[in-house]
Amino acid sequence: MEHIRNFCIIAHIDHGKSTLADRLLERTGSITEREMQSQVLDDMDLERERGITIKSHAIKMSYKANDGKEYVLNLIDTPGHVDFAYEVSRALKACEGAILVVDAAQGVEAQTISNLYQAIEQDLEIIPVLNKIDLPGADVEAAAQQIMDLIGCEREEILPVSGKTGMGVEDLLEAIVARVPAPKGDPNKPLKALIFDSVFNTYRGSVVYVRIMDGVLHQGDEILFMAVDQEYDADEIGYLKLKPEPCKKLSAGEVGYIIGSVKTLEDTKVGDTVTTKKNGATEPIAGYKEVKPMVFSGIYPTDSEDFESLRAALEKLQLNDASLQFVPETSAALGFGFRAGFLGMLHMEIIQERLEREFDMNIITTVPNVEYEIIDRNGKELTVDNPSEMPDAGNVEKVFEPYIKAQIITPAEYIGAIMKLCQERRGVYRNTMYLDSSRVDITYELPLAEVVFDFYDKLKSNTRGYASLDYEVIGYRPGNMVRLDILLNGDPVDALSSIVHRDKAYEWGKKLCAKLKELIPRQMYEVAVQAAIGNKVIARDTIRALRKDVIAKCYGGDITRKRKLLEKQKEGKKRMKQVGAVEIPQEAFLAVLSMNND
Amino acid sequence: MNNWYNINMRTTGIYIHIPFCKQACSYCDFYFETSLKHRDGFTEKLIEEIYHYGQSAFAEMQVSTIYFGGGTPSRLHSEEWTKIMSALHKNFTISPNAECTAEVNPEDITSKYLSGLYDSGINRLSIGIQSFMPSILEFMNRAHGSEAAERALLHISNSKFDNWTADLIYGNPNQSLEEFKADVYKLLEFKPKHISAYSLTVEPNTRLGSWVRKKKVVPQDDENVANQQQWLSDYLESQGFSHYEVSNFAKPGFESVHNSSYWNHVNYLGLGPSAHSFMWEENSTSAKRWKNVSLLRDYMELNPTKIIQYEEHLSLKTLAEERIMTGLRTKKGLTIGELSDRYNYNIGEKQHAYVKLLIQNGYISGEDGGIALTKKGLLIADTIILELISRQEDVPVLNKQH
Repeated sequence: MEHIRNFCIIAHIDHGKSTLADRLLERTGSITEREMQSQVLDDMDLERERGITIKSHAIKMSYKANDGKEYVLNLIDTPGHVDFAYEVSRALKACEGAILVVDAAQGVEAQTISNLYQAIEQDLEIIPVLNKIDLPGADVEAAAQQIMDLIGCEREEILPVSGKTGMGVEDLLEAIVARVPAPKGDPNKPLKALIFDSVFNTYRGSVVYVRIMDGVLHQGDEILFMAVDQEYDADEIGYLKLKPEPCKKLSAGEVGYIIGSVKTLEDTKVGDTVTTKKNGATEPIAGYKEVKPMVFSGIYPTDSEDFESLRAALEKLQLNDASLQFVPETSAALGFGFRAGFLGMLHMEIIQERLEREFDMNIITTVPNVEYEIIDRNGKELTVDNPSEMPDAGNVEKVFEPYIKAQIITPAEYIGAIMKLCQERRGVYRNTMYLDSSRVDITYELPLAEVVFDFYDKLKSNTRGYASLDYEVIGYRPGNMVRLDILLNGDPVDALSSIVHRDKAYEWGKKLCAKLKELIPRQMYEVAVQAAIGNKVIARDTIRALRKDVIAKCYGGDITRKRKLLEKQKEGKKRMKQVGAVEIPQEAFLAVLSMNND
Repeated sequence: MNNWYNINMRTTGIYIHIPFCKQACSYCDFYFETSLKHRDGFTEKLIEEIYHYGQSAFAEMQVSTIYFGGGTPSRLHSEEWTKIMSALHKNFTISPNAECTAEVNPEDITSKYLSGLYDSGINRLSIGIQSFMPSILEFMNRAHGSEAAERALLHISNSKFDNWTADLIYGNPNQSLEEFKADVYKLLEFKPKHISAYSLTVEPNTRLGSWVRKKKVVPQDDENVANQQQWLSDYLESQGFSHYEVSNFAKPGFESVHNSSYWNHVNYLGLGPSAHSFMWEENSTSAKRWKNVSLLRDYMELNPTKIIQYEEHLSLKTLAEERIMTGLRTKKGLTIGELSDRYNYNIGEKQHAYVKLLIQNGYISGEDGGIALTKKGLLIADTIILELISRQEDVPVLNKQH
């Protein structure tokens, strides 16, 4: 066990985490040149493209250190977005050390800070690294100073590296060996293995990634997933190399995988504890949370005939992403579709994008919202995650909405901007704490509904990217919420309804009408766009009838050109939805999301 | 065999592209050359191409129209006209009453040049006036000023050409309805038999396109352009013109035969760089359209057998959609009978319902199986064409017997 080092890498997007990981794999001979492609650990195209890690990964490397001994280095890669904060916390728990990567040209940026503080909180040894030191714009000393201020380390503890050329990677490997503590844990105690991720394999079922905290797991053991109380056989266990490498046993301190014919990810939840059925642990590892969707939206096939294909696609995605939930629903405007629950907005975007790319689905998503608890006039309690389920204003006695406690860490100069933003979002101020002379930790309680849309983006843009956000749900509180309906030529379009705070309804309605006017193309007749609460119209706009749409010239060669354009437009029309006599493009259903960007 | 067969297989038009221009108009994305680098030998090369097609199926057909477009055909010298026209006569069967049009620009026109043109066999002129307003001509970067335009029109009025047309462009940035009216009144003083009036189109690959992208120029609001078009249509009709296509107006009997051929799927042979050709194929159950290489340099270097840049085969369904597209732009419209007889295309239930809706709302006048757009409909013809075509249900295609 004293020759094992478990560590992760914490870095801001673009600061070169994945490239550095690639170099570590190369230098330790864990990967041959032939197998090498950029960002080896990011499996999904989407991850490579967006430069973000969505799921956790792990890889085992062997390294012969200068002391002549052979070490096992387990790199556990983590996601880097607040939507996945819980996954990050579990992945960190599986480590004893963290490499903090900072781009020498960019300096410390906020996105790392939340994860960094989590790592410090979990007592991880931090190895600060300055990356991209060979770039012309690198200001090594300034960035180093920031790191020293941030974690209170000495200048000489910071390692200069270049993920691009591989410079300094050797020293980094030595530092991992020297500074990261060997895992603690007692192989003689009952088995406790922490699940930090699980992926679904069509042929093998759920593949569970674990860190053994105590005890020993043998191949063939009968095992128990404690939180879900499900039993399986550990048919295959092994190490996570570039390809899985089966072994006979995994002992305390080690990182590996378990395959046990588990048919569903439902049973292999991140954060759960695996133990043996016989002589197993009585207490699970602390900190397990049931991950619940926070944001809900409708997902509809553009072509109603694709409903079954959409279901199949969602089911496939769910195999690998237990946090995605969905149930069928219908909309008068959009037909048959699903109401889906997501961890947050990024998660929602990722699911949308994967449906479109990997499954070639044409989908329409509706305005996202949180889950409300409602007591109607008859005293009946309802849980509402869809505006159309919300009773009419006259029938609502009380509405409760979820609140979060938001922790925002920011340079002090942005306190004003952040407080203004939180105030606008109906935030309740709680506390400000100076971390040092220039950095503060601000705490607000905010309605989740105000945070899910674009709060994070706004926070970033108002603080030049420096503020970081972490939040936890703290329960339901009363809120004066109403259902705002949108009517086109007098017909309500259910898929455009949203739940908003009464005080904001008027302005919201006005903006939404204006946005829809912009997004819905002119039709052959005038279209009235109205926003209403119950029977009361609170805002109105008019889309004028189309007056002119005809190309001037249509001679010899123009005919081919015009026909090709027509064919393209015909395709485009498939992405429109007909509501009454009005044709609505897909973007209109997400108008709310783009409203504040103007 | 239905009577479309003869039309499809026995008649053709000829289009000849003359790519030279004195200077580049800011809105134009047709192929042109302002350099004289490859000017020498162009006529000989063109004649070589004429001889090449003199051996093709086109030579078996009756040529009903010839059209010289550009570029600027009036950059050709009088001797060149004579050579080209005589080569055409040697290689093709040209109807005695064929319409032979040449596009000309005001700055090239002298009375001597006009009589040379007439003697070569050209019997119709199309003159690019665009506007009489100096500021607009300058914005367009036309090679002529307003006096040159008037002088040229005077020459034409005094020439043997009775059948001529002038191009106008409206909907220019900042152009008011009154300014456009002044252009039209001025043109009518010269008593044209035909007018083509185009609303300014911003093509991406032009200087105008780049001005608009960089927001140096703001295009006219659709509402204003629509008002100009509507006024134009009403006014010219009051002056005895027929608004027979979106952008075309003619006194009775002076409709452009050549352009109407495009809209009716009459065969056409395109000669010269970037020219398109269209030909029905055997049994008139399909057709092909092809395009010559665009660049003058390539055209000059390549053998006539190798100058086709691309070719597309058109199924009857595609042709039917094209016919709806071009037919609905004309006053005559099209008939359901033509669609089924010539293209084996049957208007489905959804399409019928849509046509009915348009009739109710005054966009279409439909009588006896005919479909024609009203003035209000013509203004949004592209939308209507798209909607109508999109409503086609998939019907099994029957084998057509002739």
